[in-house]
Amino acid sequence: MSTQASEDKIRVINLTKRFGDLTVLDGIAFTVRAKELVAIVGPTGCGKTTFLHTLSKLMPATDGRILIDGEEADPRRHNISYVFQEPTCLPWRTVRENVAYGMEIKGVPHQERMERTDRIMDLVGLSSCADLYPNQVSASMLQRIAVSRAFAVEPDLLLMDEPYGQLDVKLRYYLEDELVNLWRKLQSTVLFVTHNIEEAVYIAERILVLSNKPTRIKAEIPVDIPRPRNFLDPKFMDIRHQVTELIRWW
Amino acid sequence: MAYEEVVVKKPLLLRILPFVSVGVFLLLWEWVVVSGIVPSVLLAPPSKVFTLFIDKLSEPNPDGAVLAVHAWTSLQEAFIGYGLSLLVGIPLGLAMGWFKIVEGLARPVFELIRPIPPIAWIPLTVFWFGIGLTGKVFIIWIAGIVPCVINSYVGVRMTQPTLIQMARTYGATDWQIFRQLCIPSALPMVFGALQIALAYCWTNLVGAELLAADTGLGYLITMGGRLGRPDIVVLGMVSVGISGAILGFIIDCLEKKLLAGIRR
Amino acid sequence: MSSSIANETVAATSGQEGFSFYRLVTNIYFLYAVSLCTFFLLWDRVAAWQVFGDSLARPHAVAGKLYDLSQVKFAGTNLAGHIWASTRRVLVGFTLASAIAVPLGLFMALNKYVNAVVKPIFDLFKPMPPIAWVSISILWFGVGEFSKIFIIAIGTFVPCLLNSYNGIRLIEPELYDVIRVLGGNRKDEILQVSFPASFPAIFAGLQISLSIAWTCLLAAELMNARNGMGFLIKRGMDTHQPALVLGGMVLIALMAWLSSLLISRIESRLCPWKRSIDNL
Repeated sequence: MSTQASEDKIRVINLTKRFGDLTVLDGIAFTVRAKELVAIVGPTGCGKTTFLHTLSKLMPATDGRILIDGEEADPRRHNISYVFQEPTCLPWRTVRENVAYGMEIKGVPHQERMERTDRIMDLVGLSSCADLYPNQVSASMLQRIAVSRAFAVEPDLLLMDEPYGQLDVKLRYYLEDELVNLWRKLQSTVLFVTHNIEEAVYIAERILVLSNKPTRIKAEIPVDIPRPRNFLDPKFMDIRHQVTELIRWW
Repeated sequence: MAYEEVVVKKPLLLRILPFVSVGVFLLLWEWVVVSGIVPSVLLAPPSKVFTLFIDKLSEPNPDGAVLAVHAWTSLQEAFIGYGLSLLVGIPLGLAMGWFKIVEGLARPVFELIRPIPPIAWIPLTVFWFGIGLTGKVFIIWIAGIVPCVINSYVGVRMTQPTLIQMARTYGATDWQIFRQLCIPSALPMVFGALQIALAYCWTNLVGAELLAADTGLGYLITMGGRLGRPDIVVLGMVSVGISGAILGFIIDCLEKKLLAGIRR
Repeated sequence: MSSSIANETVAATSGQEGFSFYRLVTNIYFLYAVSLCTFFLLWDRVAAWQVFGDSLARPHAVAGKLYDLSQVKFAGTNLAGHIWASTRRVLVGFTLASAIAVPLGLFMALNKYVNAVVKPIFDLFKPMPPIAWVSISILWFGVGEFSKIFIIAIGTFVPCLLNSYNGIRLIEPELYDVIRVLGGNRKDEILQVSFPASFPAIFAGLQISLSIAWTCLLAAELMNARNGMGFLIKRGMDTHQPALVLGGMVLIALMAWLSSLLISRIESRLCPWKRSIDNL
């Protein structure tokens, strides 16, 4: 489906970030096609969070450009969504209002906002707790709310920063399936950062492997395994081994 | 259920001790005065304070007004000053927490004024406004504004940084973040300020009335002292304590209501 | 890790690109300077234009007054003497009260029987503003030194006790479990957990007490004193000298600020592990 050649959606050119003398990102360059799900893996502490913060324009880059559809990326103009490591729900809004929050800022008209919210909440199974407050639902629900909110704005670029890193294994599998499902139905362009190699191979179309600081892109590995993927598939294990060899942080 | 029962089963001794303790305290107080160990020109026994309380409900002498008038004057001053300090302090503190320009402009002046004990303003307010309502309202306003500003400021500052980042990635403006994130997350701290500010206002009100007033509970205490009437002094102190406690209780209920209102 | 996230947030907000004029206007030190200049200028103008008649002194008049006072004796002593008279009262009253209140608060929190006896009496006195004691302390102890110290002690007692009490009550029970699992007894629990964990709360109580102490001192000195900073203010009021009143206010604010600085210095020395919130 997404292996078909489509134009480049995101182009990152020579992205560099320095904090004083410390170079964290060193000339990162890559492209992401429209509707592609790319995973980014790297050793612990390689500046993955800085990388995403720079990409999302939360933090100014020292050098380099980020182009979305050929234009300089700008959170006010482009739809960029970001799912953070920790849950980011507004405690004073219900689950439904939280899911709609991104669209509210984007100025999506009320009618459409409600329709999209309902649709997404149906997809991820949040409808039953739509009118609860975040402190009344479980941790995995909180992360689902954030993911739904991110997809709901129909982002040009969706950045995910180890969103399932703090959840237990069983829930993780379940949510990863859900993520792939959402991505296929809603056709967003997703950049998924993780330190879990299995997770990366399981969900991604392509994997970018980052090096230690100063961070560069060390390798690019396409994952052309048909879905649903199986952890015991020889090809799956082969790619996993390949990525593991590239990182080797132990 | 079983859990609650365990909690309820406090030892009998622990349950009656508080009452015993207060009872013994009051009896001891009564006894030291009646028996003459403490001369009655220095301290009035609780019974005498209570009879005086009944008398003062209708008797304006020797200090010029019945108790209700004193209490009403004090409450009026406290409420206006308190209300004004909330009205100015909370928005100022919230804005200082988020907008750098507001912080840069307001903070130095605030830090200059803050360490001055509010009652130090009494002479100036007497010069400027006389000993009427305005001067005392000014002092109470100064007293109440400090905790309001500090708490609202801290409340905004404690907004979870990832929430702000989240809103930013969606392209929210500064104003949107302030209104939709910072203010709601600062609210518990702001409500906390209601109680603190009230206590400050009430204390400084008494101070202001001790020094520059012609009615009010603080004035009642001063007059008792000047006339050498310990019963009036104690009555004044007790009235101040009780009305302060009642006000605190009202604000406490209000605070709980409001907090519950946010969480729904 | 979390601190680095905070740093990144700060970097993100402060690193915004813009015109140099915009950056100047949002520079915090520039704003501070503007604020202070405006404040003093406004004060000076309001005084010079006699908005409040002759009842507001210009800033330089206040400074001049303070300088004069430091040179000549006023009411028996010079400026340093007045400052010391007030400071000594606060020191004695504050030390006395906290020396009793802090241990008592800890004791109340650790022993429920002590708590059951002391707490209700204490609750009776709690809502009474300390300043309300001024008259009765004059009645009891006359106008001397002791009545002032008494008011300060009464005022500082309450927050000291309340905070050390709560400091222990609010300790997370898991901390005790650590000691118990290692086989510690009640004594170890108290020495290793209760005391250190209640330190920040105790110091918060001391800070609050200190500011109340200065207020009480002022109330006492305004009512009746022959020296001290409150006396200067009162004399300024009686003889209608706004410069003297403002001078007294400046001095007392300065001393209150210095003493609270001292307490926080001691605190950061004694419990360096305490988490501080920036910019408070």
